[in-house]
Amino acid sequence: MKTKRLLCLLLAVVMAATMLAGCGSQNEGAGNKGDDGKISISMYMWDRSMLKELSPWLEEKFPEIEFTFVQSFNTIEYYKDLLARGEEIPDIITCRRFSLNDAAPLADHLMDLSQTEVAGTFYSSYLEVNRETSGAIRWLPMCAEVDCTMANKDLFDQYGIPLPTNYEEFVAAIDAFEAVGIKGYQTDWGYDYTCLETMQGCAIPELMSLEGTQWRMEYESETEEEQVGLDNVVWPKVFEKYEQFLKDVRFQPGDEELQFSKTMEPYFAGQTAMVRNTAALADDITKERGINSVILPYFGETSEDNWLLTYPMCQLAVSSTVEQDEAKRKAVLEVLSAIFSEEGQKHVAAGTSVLSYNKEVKITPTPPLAYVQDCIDRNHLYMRLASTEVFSISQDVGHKMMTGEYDAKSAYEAFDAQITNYVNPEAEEILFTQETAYSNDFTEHGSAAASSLMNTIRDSMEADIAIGYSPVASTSIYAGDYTLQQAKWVLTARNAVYQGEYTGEEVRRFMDWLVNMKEDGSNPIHHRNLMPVTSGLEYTVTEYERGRFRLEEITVDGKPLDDSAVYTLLLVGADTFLEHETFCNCPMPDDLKAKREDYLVDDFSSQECMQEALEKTRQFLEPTEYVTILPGE
Amino acid sequence: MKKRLLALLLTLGLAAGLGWAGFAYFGFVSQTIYEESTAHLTEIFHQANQALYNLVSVNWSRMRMWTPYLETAESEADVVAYVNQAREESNFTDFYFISRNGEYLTLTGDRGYLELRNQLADLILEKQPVVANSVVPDQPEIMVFAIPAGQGSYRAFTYEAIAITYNNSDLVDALKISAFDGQASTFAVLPDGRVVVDNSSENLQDCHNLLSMLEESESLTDEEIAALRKDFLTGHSGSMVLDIHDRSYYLVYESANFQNWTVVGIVPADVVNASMNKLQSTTMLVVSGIAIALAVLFLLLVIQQNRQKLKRKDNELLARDELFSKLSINVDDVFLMMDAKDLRVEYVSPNIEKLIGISEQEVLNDIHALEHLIRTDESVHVLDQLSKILPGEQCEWDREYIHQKTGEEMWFRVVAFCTDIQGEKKYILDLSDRTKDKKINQKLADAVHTAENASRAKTTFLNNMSHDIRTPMNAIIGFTNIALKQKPKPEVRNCLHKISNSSEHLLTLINDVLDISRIESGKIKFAPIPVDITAVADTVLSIMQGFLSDRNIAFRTDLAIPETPYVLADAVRIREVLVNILGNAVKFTEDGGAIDFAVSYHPGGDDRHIVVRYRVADTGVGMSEGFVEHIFDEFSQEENGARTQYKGTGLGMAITKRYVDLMGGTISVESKKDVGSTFTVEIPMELTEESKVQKQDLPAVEANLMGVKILLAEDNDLNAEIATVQLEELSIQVTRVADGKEAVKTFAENPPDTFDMIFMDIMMPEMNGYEATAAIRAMQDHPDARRIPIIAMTANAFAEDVQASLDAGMDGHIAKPIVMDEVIKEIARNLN
Repeated sequence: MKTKRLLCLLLAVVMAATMLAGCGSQNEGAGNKGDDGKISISMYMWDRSMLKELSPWLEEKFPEIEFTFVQSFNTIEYYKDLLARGEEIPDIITCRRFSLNDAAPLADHLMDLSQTEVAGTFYSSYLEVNRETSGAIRWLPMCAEVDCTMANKDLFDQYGIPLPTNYEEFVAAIDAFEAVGIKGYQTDWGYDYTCLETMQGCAIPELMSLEGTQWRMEYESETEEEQVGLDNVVWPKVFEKYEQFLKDVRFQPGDEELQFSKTMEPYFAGQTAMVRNTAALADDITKERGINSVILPYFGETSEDNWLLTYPMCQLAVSSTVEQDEAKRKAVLEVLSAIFSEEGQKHVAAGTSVLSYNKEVKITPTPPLAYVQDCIDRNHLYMRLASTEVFSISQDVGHKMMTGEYDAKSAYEAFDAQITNYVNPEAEEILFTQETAYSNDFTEHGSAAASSLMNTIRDSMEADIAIGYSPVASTSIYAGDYTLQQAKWVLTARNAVYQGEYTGEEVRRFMDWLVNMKEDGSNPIHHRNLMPVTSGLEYTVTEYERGRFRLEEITVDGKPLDDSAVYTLLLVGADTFLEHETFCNCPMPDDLKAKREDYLVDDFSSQECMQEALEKTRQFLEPTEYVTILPGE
Repeated sequence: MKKRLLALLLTLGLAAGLGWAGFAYFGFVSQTIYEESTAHLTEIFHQANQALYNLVSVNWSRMRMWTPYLETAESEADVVAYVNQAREESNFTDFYFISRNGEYLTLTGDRGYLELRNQLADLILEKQPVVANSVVPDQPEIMVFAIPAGQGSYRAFTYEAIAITYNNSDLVDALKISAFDGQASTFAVLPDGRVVVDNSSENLQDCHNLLSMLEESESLTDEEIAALRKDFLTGHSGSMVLDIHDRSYYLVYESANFQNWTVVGIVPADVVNASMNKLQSTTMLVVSGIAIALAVLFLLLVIQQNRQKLKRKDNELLARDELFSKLSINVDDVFLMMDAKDLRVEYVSPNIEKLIGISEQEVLNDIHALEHLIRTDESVHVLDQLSKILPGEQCEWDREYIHQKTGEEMWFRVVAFCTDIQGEKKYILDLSDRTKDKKINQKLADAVHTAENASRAKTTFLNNMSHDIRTPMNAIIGFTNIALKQKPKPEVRNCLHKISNSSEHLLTLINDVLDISRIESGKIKFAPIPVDITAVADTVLSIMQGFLSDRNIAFRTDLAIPETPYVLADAVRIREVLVNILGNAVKFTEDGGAIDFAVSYHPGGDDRHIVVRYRVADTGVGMSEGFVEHIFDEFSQEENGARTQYKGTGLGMAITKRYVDLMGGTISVESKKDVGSTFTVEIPMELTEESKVQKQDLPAVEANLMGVKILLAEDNDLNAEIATVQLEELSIQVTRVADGKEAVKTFAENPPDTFDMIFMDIMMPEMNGYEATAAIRAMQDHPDARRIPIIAMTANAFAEDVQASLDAGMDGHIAKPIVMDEVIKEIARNLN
């Protein structure tokens, strides 16, 4: 009997040990525990602003967690592509463009959050939007961004033009500004979101009618087999109103190509009175540029028909793999609770004007929203329809309406035709076949994927040295066929590109600015993942404290950097982060900043740079060990 | 030890039983409390839930009543007044007119959008009443109760439905539980656990998802939470006990019966069970008190019993001490106890000084003081022997001591014990004064010696008497027989016959007297040897032939045949018994009568023994009843004049009875005067093997003794003459010598084969018969020395005399007075 018990006990111990060992290896694979025993959480943030605002706060709030922050993309398609490549969904993911039917393919890979405490903090009516037919809620909406019409109130005041309160007054105001040589309304029509928002914004009462909401619910619950086309009551009116809107805002041929900067420069210069923009940016502009910018709604016939167009700053979901480890699940839910707390949402919003979807979270509307308070009070908050295909089709159809190719009717028909059979052209054509895979895991020699990307761009741009911001690569480079869309997903964001000649001494100072801790205590590289990515230049840093680095040796092609030599330097997205007060607040030395601004490559983003490079190389080039991180004192 | 173990086991059993009973009772009470409490809670929360449901039902009922009025109200003021009155009745927060598109208008003209999502279609298109959670910015979450209305208009706002709203917090009132001191929490939750209405107590605040909160409770398994969620989803009710933040709570839930809400009540268990717990704890306290009291009583009882037991033991010990002390003083034993390690004396009985003359203190100081007692140095000292004694063993010695004060010689029996007393090895010495015994024994020994001397004298006397009577008797009988053979005249013959008869009677008398005397003095021993028992009867029958030869008595025999005739028996004694009885039968049966002699064999005590029954029945004179009782007494003879007719000593039956007793048998007699007597003798015998039975000497054939040469050693001339005459009548050559010495000399001096046999008297001058025989047998140079038959011919006629002759190296024994038939047989046997 005793022997049997002993045997059972032994077996149980062996079993438990085996299971624990199994769990351990699984956890290791999932990156649950770091070398120092911390729980590891990977979080992909859709936008660099979110990355820069939220990540330091989370790291400070959860010192026991080893975060890996990666800048990703605004679309859910990015995560679908990760899955298609056989990669796992990161622990926490975010995206901006979201619809429930877009998210359906990811459902099996995401955790049901409906039963969590954090989901309980949401107002039911906002959360229910994301409830699947199964009852599961896998996506939680982050606070609402208001994205309407930004008006230069100073300009209105200057010309004695009253701020409009309805559509008629809106048109009248445009006319009034036009009369004094000022563009009444302009916006960056070139972007898909501008097309989408203006199209929906001008007909919100229709879209929020009983029929409109009925259709939308039907559309959002469509399946791949049963695609839902546009309804024939609401949507024809939408295109009619949009056609009228384009006329009323005095759309000019060619405006459909307008980018953000081209739109904002006249606004900053007082040459445009109103532009489409977010309340957050209006706040920033008011604060940073002293231009009293206020948000105006999408106007209806009467002020009672005015609506604000809103959307969650992002949607957040958790990988179902997290559920395999209870400790990690708890940790992730604590992180989520923190993010959706009042303090967390303020960090996400970076102090700008947003509205909360959560109970007990009070975010006081900032001054730019003062003129739409009545809309807020009336709950005239329209949440944009933001499926990937609607973005794309809105751009296509909108541009064709702008160019006159489509009238309202044909626009409706074209939209209807595309929405039931949407194909992303960038995701169709095979651009090239990558022969070697490069990991984006960060080692003491940096990220191979980022290095490959930077080497490819430098090669294309024929620069001596290229320097980019660390999270330039959002994903590993895999071996296989690449479409343009997939190639774009390697590079995180569309950043400005600068190229020009710098002396070695200037390059050294530039690197010093990027890496070393500043005298005022600000620390640009608080995590090794943020280390700059270089090409043609190698450097060594010492991590003398965790998250604190000191620049040591710099070499160019293996030789010490010659301070007197002149190098052609390509800068990709290595600028605005450090200077932002919420991130590092490290202004670039004036002479370097002036030089950089001089070297701006006009109308040429990092993404276009990469696209051009790949068209030449048709391959992501071999990476180099661009950085060596040494432990030390 | 066994008792203690039993008591311990019983106590443990009792404690275990009490423990089990307490545990079972606690379990029973806990279960009862749980059932009662949950039933109580379920009822309370059901009432709260009912209140909520009533609120909803009443609202719909009232709103249905409002719509006709609102549609027909004459003025906005009427509408306002009406709704305000309704608000007072229903206590709702806001009243809304709702348009087709979900826009609302309040009584005061405020407009907005009411997010009803898919329920808007139910309300407007399906004309169904709806309840929905909704929200307007910067306002608490609201609960909307809406019903479709006929298309109406208020302040130019076209509406198709009306609604009243409650802030969710207002609904809390409906779910408020007044009981439990405000520690009851009530929630309305959605199937996924999200809290819709929160009426939580301080303990459970900031809970947004009930299931999530319960997940933190380690007392619930994932399966239980999943089951709870399923119950929420399916509208089932239930209850459970769980821990939240290390506190035990009761949780009861039931469907709210509208929307998909479930009303959940959570109350700390200690609050719910306050009174029950008090009752339980009081009960437990009382029960524990009683149990403790019982335990104390039991303990006291045990202590009391132990005390009594100890007292009894003490008394017993005291009594024993007293007894021992008295004994020690009064008995003739000295007791000492010593530690085995160092022979330190721990106890010595106070009578030591009296008995051996050494003071108690002297011995307590040093045990070796006892060494002075030893009379001689030859004895090994007892103290030196102690170390050889193992625990549990004892040794004994007899020691001769000198009393140290009186100098008196004393004898002691010293017994030393080695014992283990609670792990310590001890020696106990008992010096038992045996001086008196020794002296008594000495006296007894002296008495025995005297008695033995007397006995020896008696035996000698008897032997001498026997010898000395037989010697002249031998002469009388012998010469009478010789005279008879001289063909005397009839008168002389008659006289010679009378002399012969009288001589034989005298000899019988003498033999009987000597026999009885020998029996009484224990000289006669029962000496069983392996024999064929049937031969005994045959011998008796042959003797009987002689008795009956001149009588006209019918002698009938019935001799059974035994399974095995070989037994251990004293054939001589049996023969004497039977001859005695049969002789009497012949003697007391007149001619014409009959005697029956039967021998039968019966099983004995076991298969190794048999009982031989001899039965002698005669038709003789018989005996009176009075005499039968004394027939076995010595010298008993019936006074019937028969004595004159039937001569006897009156010792025959006494001797017979002694012989039968000696052989372990029984003898009984049935007799009737003038009818006859029947004697039954039963003798047990042990079976033996045939091989052990010595073959009977062949009966003497009609030996021709002519020429046989006999050396006759006989000191008595008369006896020598009688023997010589009678032997020579048989043509035997007799050489007579006068004593043993001469016999030895004659034998030695003659060549071999000079003599065929030697007849040796025993009691002879110069050298008795035994010595002479030994001398002859010891002759190395005479070829006949070892083989020549030497036959004792002596007046020493007792069995021991026969044995003594054989032991001395003789080959046979002939008792005097000699019977020539016996002599002839003996000669023939030895010649053969």
